[in-house]
This record gives sequence, structure tokens and C-alpha cells, in this order.
Amino acid sequence: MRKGVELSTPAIEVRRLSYAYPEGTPALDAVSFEVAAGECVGLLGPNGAGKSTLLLHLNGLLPVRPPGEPSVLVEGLPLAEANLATIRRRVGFLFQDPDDQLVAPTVFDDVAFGPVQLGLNGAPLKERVEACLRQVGLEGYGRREPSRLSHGEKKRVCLAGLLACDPAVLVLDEPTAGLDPRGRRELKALLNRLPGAKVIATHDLELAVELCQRVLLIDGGRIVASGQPADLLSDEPLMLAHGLEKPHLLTHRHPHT
Amino acid sequence: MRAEAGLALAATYSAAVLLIPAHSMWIAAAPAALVALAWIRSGVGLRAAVPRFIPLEVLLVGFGLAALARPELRVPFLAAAIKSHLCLASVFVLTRAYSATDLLAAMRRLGCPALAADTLALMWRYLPLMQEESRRLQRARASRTFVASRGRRWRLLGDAVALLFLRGLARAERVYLAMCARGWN
Repeated sequence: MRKGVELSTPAIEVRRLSYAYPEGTPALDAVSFEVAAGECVGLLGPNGAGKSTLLLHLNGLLPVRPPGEPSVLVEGLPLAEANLATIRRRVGFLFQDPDDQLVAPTVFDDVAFGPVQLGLNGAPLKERVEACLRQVGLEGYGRREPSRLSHGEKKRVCLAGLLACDPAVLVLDEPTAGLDPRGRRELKALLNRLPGAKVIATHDLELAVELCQRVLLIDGGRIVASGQPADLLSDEPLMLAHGLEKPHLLTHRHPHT
Repeated sequence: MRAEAGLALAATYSAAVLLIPAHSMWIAAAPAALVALAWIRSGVGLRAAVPRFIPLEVLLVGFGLAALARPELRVPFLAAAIKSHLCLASVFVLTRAYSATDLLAAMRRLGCPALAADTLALMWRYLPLMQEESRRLQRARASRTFVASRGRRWRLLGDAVALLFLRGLARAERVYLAMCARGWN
């Protein structure tokens, strides 16, 4: 948590956030919610619901349109030009396609990308990078080239790059997309171990059930329902009405679960 | 030999080759022998080098045609052809001797401007992805191309290049956002 932040301050606060794309298409309509420190919140909804647009706002990657009062606060800090650097450090953003995020020629350089922007170098930088690689289970991968890694490994390098900036909130856009079952299982276990608040936009409803304390259902740029994952996702008519379905995990309880 | 030394050697070699006067190109025999020796030692076959030399040959064809028409251009053309081949050969040998990541790191350590080093690093990172994307595009097109006349093939190739360019732009936008998200300015 940032110095001087009270324990009761939400990690993320979104107040009546609206957004329209430059050509005028509305994407978000008066979206409001809070994420408590350490809480894991799932963002569910059909394609085009506005999930990714909402996530991009949490990191200040989209301009506030129409301009007005700040509608996003990170640890009480309003999203404004003057606070952008602090907010981007406190909010780690995992993009859906790891190839968009891995910009450096080696794994080490990529994990170091954020800390270098923060002025870290030499031995402390090396220690931090190695610690983060260890945290995601990729110890010794420093000299590898990102293009030679598997999709799951790339995702984990991306996560290490975020952790290297010591974020208070992790914002994850479809973290399990494109992963095989083993990769998905490993990534879920890793995410479960990571400290801090998390906002996860996903179509992987089982991930939402297993990891999130609360889920928000978003459709047409509005939050249409929120609640505990097991309760909300068991509501079959609601799920079907918004392009989702009751997850298998809640339909059949296997002896091994 | 460290990558810094290799880079410095290649830069010195190229500078020396470029300084050879156009009317005394016989001097180029010495650097040509040097680079040939390095090439043989690197164990790289000529076939591997062909794709790297094609863009140069294309450029030289235009210059060569102009030299055919104007005799006063023949000596400068010959000098430019020899010098560019020697310099490219030295860079080719260098890239076979060191990995791209070692060379990029060495460039940064030698004080190469950050913008140039970052641009090269991004090119190195994203070129294989573009190649892969291009392969996927070609494969997808091929799977739905039933009548393959030459004209149609060229048109499809043009479409694929345009699509690749548009996808590249979209990716560039996403990469930029991802860099901003991690504090890049």
C-alpha cells in the first residue's frame, strides 16, 4: 500500500465512469464500483461489453471522455495527468496478448523494463528481477528470448514484469486466454498466491468462481449485476440473458473438487 | 571476444573501407581478404547470406543502370558496389558471431543513443512475430484460393501485405499502451 494511504481506502474506486470512442460509439455508461485492498474482483460479460475498455481506464490508458471530474481513484489518488506516473506504478496491467506486452529482447530486460523507468539499476535491479522471476516460477529464464517461450511462460514473464514495479492492484485482461488446461491451472495457482487487489476481466467463469471474492456482470457498458461468484453465476437465466452460461464447476460437483 | 570489441572492430573496418578512394579500389583487396577469412572461420554457407544481400543488389541495379548510361558514373558505381558488399559482409559475419541480444546490450554499453537501441530492440523482438503473422495469413489465403492465376496471386499478395501493415499498426498501438502501462514515457 502507498505511504499515507488509510486501511479503509479502497484500492480502486470508480465513480460514474462514462466513455465513448472517438467516433461516438458509447462504451461505458456511468459505471461505479469499488475494489477493497487485497480483494479479487471478477469482471464478466459478453464480447464487446466494455470490460477491456473499463480496465484500460484503471491504468489511465484512455482519456476521460467526455472530460469532467475524475471518475477513477487508485488508493484515493484521482486519475489525472499529474498522478499518472504514480497510478501506473500502483496498477499493474496484464494485457490479453503477451506479445503486446513483452517488448524487450530478453526476459531479464523485459522484467527490468518497469523498474528501470523507476530509476533502479545495478545490483538492486538484478535482485528485483531475479526475485520476480522466482515468484512466477521462471528462475534462470533471464537470458531467454521472449519469442522462444511458450504462451504460458510468456504470460508469467508479463506477470513478473508487473510485480517488479510493486503494484498495489493487478488488472488482468483475460489472463487464461489461449492457455492449455495445465497452463491455466498453473496460472490460477500463481494468481491465487499473489498479494494485493486484483481486477480480472475473463470469460473463464471457473477462474472467477475459484479466485474472485466478488464478480461484476457488465453488458452494454453498464454493470447489470454484482455479487458472490457462486450466487451470481448460478443464476442461469441471468447468465443466458447476458451471453454467458452457468459454469460446469457449479453444475456438477466432482468427487475431486 | 566480447560483443563490444566485435562491434568496435566492425565499425572500424567499415569506416576504413568507406575511406578508400574510389580511384584506388585495389586497396580493397586487403579488407576483402580479411572479411573472407572471418567468413570462412564463422563456418556460414553462402546460401544463408543470400537473403541479406538481396536488398543491396536491388539498390545497386538502379545505380548500375545509371552507370551504364553515363560513363563518368562507372568508377563511383564500382567503388560503391565493392564498399557496400564489404561492409554488409562484415556486419553479416558480426551477426553470426554474436547473438542479437548481446549486440544490443553492447551497443547500449558503448553509449549508442537510447532511441536507436530501443528501436533496434523492438525490431528484433517483433520481426519474428510479423513473419509468423505473415505465414498465417498466407496459409489462410492459400486454403481458400482455388483458382491460382498469376494475376490473382499477385493481387492476393498485395492484399496480404496491406493487411499485414494494418495489423502491424494495430499491434504497434497495443504495444505502445503496454509500454505506457509500465511507466514508459
